[in-house]
Amino acid sequence: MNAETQLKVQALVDGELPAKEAAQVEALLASDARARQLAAALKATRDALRDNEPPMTVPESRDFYWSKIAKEIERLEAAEARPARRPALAGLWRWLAPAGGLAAVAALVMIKSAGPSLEMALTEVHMASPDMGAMTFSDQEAGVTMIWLYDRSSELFTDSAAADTLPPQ
Amino acid sequence: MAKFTDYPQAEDVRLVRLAQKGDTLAFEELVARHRDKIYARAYSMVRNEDEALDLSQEAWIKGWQRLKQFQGDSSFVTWMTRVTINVCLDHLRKRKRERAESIEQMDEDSGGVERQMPVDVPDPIAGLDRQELRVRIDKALGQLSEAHRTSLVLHEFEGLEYKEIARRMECSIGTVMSRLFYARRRMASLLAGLKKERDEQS
Repeated sequence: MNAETQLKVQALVDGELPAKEAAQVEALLASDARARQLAAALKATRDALRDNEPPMTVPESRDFYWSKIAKEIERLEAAEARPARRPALAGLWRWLAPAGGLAAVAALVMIKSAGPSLEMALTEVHMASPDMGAMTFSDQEAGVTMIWLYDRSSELFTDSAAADTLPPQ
Repeated sequence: MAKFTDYPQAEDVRLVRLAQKGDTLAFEELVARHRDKIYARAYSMVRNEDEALDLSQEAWIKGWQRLKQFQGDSSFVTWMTRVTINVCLDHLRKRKRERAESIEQMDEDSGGVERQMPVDVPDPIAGLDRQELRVRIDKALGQLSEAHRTSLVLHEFEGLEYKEIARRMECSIGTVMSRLFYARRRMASLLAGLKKERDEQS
């Protein structure tokens, strides 16, 4: 009896063999004493184990055993109850952006008065944060360029995508 | 007015419903009722009392977290033993990685000895009472490899089908069949050996 046949005998004992194969293995059992012996041995071992998992008793008192579970549940629930924290930098940016924007505008106006070469250097604005948006306004006659920086996540800019696509001034 | 609940007298179904609403006293009662069973299952799988204790408690915590998912399709304790099995399998995988051993990479040819065993192994339970049989099963389980023991626990104790065992052990059905076959042959041999020892001593 090869290994494959042995596994099929076992599958028959466990009721896991498809009907067609089951019929073939049953025919084998009818004609082969060793196959029958194997099936009986596998079944005996299975039956010996079934419903006979060795019992165990927790080696701790009810209160002590529970206390460790309760403590962890309490910790998990406390963690769940805490409001989700915004990333630290995002929170900081929310506060600093308006002030930063004003400072930037003020700086640009001042820079403009310092000379035209600096104006050229400042025509492209790189945003330091993906949470930060920018709008610009230029008046060539007055020689003034204004840049508004804003927090994209602010409720004041609910249509931030549209704000980003404003045509250049 | 708050409704009084007699937790020790309440059925599992009621305790589960209360626990699902956040009643930790109800959950504590469930733990008290079934902790030995859960601990025994963890011990069957890892064969170490300290680890089994920690894993059983981890399973209860997982059970609490997932309690809302329990729909009552099976008994609560059956559901909890499945949670425990998953916790233990995760633990065994982690331990395997740490020891560079494998329950998946178990040497499939290691059953060669069992394959060549005579098929007419004496009935391993003949003449044993239930308590004695369980003691012997416990001793024999300790002598099996992790992969063989896990296959037996999932099939014989938990009653899972080949397909479900394969899913949980992350291996093929063929591997499950092979492991189970060798595990049974080895278990039969061990039980028979233990029985012979007893017969010779008496």
